[in-house]
Amino acid sequence: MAKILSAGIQSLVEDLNGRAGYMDIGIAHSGFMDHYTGRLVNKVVGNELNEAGLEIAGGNFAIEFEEDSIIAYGGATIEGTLNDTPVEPYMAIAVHPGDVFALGRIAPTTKGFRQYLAIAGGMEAEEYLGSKATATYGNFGGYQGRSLKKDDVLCLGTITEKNKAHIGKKVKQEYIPEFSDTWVMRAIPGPDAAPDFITEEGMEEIFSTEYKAQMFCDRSGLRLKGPKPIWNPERANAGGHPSNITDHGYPGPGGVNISGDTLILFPAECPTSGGLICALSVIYVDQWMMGQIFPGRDKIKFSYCTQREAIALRKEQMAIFEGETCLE
Amino acid sequence: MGKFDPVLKRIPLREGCPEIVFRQAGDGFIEVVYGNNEASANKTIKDIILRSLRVIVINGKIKESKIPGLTETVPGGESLLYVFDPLKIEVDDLIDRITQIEMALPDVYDQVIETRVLHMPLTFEHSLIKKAIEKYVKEVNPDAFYCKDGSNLEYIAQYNGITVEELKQRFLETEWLVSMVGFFPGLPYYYPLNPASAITCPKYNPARTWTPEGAVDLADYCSTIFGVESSGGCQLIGRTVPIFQAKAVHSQFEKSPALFKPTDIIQFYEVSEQEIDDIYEKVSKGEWEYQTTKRVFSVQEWLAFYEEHEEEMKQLQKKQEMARKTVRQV
Repeated sequence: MAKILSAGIQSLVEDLNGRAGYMDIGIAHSGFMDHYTGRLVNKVVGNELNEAGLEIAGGNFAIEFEEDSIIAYGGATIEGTLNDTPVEPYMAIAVHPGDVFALGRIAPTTKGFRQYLAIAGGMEAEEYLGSKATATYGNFGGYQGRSLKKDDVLCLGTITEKNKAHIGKKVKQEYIPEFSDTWVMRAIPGPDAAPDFITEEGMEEIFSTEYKAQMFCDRSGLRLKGPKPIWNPERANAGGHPSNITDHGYPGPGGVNISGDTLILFPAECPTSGGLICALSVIYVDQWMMGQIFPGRDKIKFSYCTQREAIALRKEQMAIFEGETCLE
Repeated sequence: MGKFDPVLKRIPLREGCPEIVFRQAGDGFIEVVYGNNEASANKTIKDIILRSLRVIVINGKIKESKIPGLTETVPGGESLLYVFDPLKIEVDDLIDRITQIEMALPDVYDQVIETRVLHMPLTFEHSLIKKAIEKYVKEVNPDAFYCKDGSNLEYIAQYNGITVEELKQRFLETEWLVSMVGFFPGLPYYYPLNPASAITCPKYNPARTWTPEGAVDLADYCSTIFGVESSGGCQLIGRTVPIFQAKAVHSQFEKSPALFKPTDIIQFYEVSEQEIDDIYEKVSKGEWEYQTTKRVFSVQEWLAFYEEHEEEMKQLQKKQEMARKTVRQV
């Protein structure tokens, strides 16, 4: 078992895949917002990639272990300590009864926003519709369907021989992404782009603007600040706001929704449908960045990509997690 | 194809079926849209419902065909979103499979669907609805002229050129056809089967940050019910009973946490705030019976019914056009 001593802004039990297959009843996939770091930390402790782990937003977190375990953390540049001694991220470390693993406070200089803590064998959690991921909209899955609180107790999973063999292993430096306060995400135009909704010029503008993350950011959406989109004049004059269309399924995660004149990035727990356009879609391999955007501070840019390129990049990213490729 | 044009393929307009447009949506989604995303003001309830029925029928056929690599589909009012694993199926192969199924279905006029009617209690006045509206005015938009005295009913009525009493009557009179479920957990989107109840109004600007469970709202001819507390953008009508339950305390939710599915028909009846609150209490203990009756929905019969009420719809449209000359736009 392990007890939460401090739960920070929002600490959630999540997994990699979430619950796919229920978007048609309004249930988002959910799961790790930063799927890349979530994979890395599970990989390094010797877990299955879909094992449940903790997603911790904004640091200020502490957990006390009451049994032997193996853990690894990664993500935002907030220092992790074991019994007040700094420990390396992206490395599998053994913990023993009485050990306290903690994450410091987030600072204006912090790069990234969320950290992921993998624990050997994962943890017990409410498995709902095939996943342990917490759904913060609807309050199911995870730890009683909610964010962790101080004094919550996690029942840890069973440590395997594989987990034990991973103690001391690290993620190779080349596979650890460099965090910054500017996130360049590759994106594909569509489903609702030029010429029908936004002009060519307007799309050029979206792909060349530096947007700023607003304070209003959560697991369902990250609002961006930037210029007003350049709407197709025919649509703008059709009555109603040009961003409004007949309700449709949202390509999420990944879609870039336009609500009125505001762009909203769609992360893991975005709405599954609605009546607004999605002008472009962040490609799968870059969607992890949405989990690392520092609200109110970070800048976001979209870099043009084709569907074909995106699929090739996806193959490359999946290869990183095959066997022990990314470990040393 | 222009650099920013996401259209992958078009199937031209056929008798009884609008143009079908395949749109790329990232590297794991394709959206197939029926028609050209015309603004809702340029479509009739008949266009919308016929397109929605096509989505429902095609979705059923797609599911039966079990396309490898296709992980799920999400029906929209006039579109179907395909979620797929591009490492398991090529985009072009998926488009070919969908095209085959589309070409085999000329129109939906002969569809006969075995479905059910859900009889839903509704109160037009509820303290939580009032709270949501007041919270919006206080915290989001102090100038929201569509929120008057903690209600949106007055604005909706004005926008349609009718009285609040007439608005309520038209809302209760019609049966509503569920076209899709989505947004947040359990929320059904439904359209009036009786065109004389084709009430419309614009959405909030910007959206609400909080809406209570069970809220019933409306915009652009479409009404929805909130399965869970969440943000929301349409004008509030009232409150009904729980429609989503993850833990299935009530037996109604054993098969699915969501009460509604596409093709369900909703008929509202008016009750008091107290009655609604009592039902919440009962449902949380697994009591209270959701009233459903079986129904065979024939598209031909509905089209005949639609025609019978088309004149009333036109009269309403005249009132709406008149009203829009004077009522403030959102």
